[in-house]
Amino acid sequence: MQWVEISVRADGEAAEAVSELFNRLNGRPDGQGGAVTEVSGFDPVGDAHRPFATVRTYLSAGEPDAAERQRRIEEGLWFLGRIYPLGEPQIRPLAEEDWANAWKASYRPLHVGRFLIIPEWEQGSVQPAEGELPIVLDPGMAFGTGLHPSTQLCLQAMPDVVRPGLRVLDAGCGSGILSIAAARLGARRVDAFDIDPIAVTATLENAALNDLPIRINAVQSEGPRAADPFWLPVDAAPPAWDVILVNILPHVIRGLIEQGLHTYRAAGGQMLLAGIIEEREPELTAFLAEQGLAVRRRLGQGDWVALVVA
Amino acid sequence: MAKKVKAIVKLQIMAGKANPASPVGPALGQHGVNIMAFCKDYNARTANQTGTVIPVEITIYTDQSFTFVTKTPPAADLIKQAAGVAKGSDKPKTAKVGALTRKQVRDIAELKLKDLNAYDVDQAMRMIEGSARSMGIAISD
Repeated sequence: MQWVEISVRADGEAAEAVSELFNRLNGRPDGQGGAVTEVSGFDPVGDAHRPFATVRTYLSAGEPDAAERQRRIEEGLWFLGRIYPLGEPQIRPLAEEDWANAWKASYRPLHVGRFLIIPEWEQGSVQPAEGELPIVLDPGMAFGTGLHPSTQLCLQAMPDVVRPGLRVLDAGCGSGILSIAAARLGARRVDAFDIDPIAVTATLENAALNDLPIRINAVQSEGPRAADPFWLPVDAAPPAWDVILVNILPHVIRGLIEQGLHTYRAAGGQMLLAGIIEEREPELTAFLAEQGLAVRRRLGQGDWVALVVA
Repeated sequence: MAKKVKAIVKLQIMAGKANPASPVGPALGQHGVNIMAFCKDYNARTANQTGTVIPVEITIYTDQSFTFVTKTPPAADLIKQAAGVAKGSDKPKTAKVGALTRKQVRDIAELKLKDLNAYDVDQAMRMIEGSARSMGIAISD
């Protein structure tokens, strides 16, 4: 996707005015667009007490009113320039590739519990230690790099939960990192779903990078729906997975359980719930108790929590 | 040693709805920040305020790590929400589009107090009243 970036350098008060202009002319009701105010130029050069700000806004070049929007913004900036000392507006095209992959430079192989996460472009530069399970990954624009505490908590808990021969469901699979981990741990079957089609593609592509003993089945789904074939009986009736992984957010976990996700567990099956910020934990555990789900194990890292429930 | 700050980025995002599109993607991606990690964190921390714009101030360090703090929603948004109007008036002096009670002004002032340049609620209330009037929203007793 192509973007047009408009940026202006300004000091404090003028930056507020420019930011207001960008939010007004390029903000959307859904919160997209709008202004980005950036203060940089800290030590060793620059005075941190009176930093200049750069205010930016991004126009999606493909939108029909992009040119008109840009014209109105330029006009607005011209008027503001009569009142405040503003730098000359800088306008440049920006391809998504220019920024979407910049973070990869600092994404390095990472040891988490029994796993070694290897960025796809780092393959060959590192070998797993004895007993360590490799996960090759290109997360792209999907959630799940292995850097986030909630993913790390899942990877730490999984060897005790996902025993060889079990059937695993990965709810909200993102990059597919947990599905791949489950396959590496010897799961007999791994099914995965995500609301986001980008995540489904990423999961399938990442699974292919890993030369796994089983095929991961990933589909786009919003959760349990009787009419959707994905939710029909897996091996036998009723639909049953031995382990259900849900690394999303408390309100989404709650929503999925309200849809009956937990009823898709086989007898004796467990759920690993993560993405839970500590302050939301009591509310979630109270809800789980109401649903007859008991917390078997709790893991914490920073202010993030993962729960094994049954 | 304290980490070196590379940039501080301020933007406004709908609570619980951060995604890698504009403005989050280009604003953070250009600094090498892991965009998805930020989105997940922001959405987790703002999930219970869905429907409001929550401004965020992100500090990016030279090693590409980041921290962020969320701010209170913009006064204009809170005023519009309380008055039940979609937008302010084009002619705030003559054409009023809605009204707020003193109680509503006080509620907004109390919520915004920590982010406003005000010492007490009364002072904050005067700032909110000023913003409301400039949007064509009257204050009733």
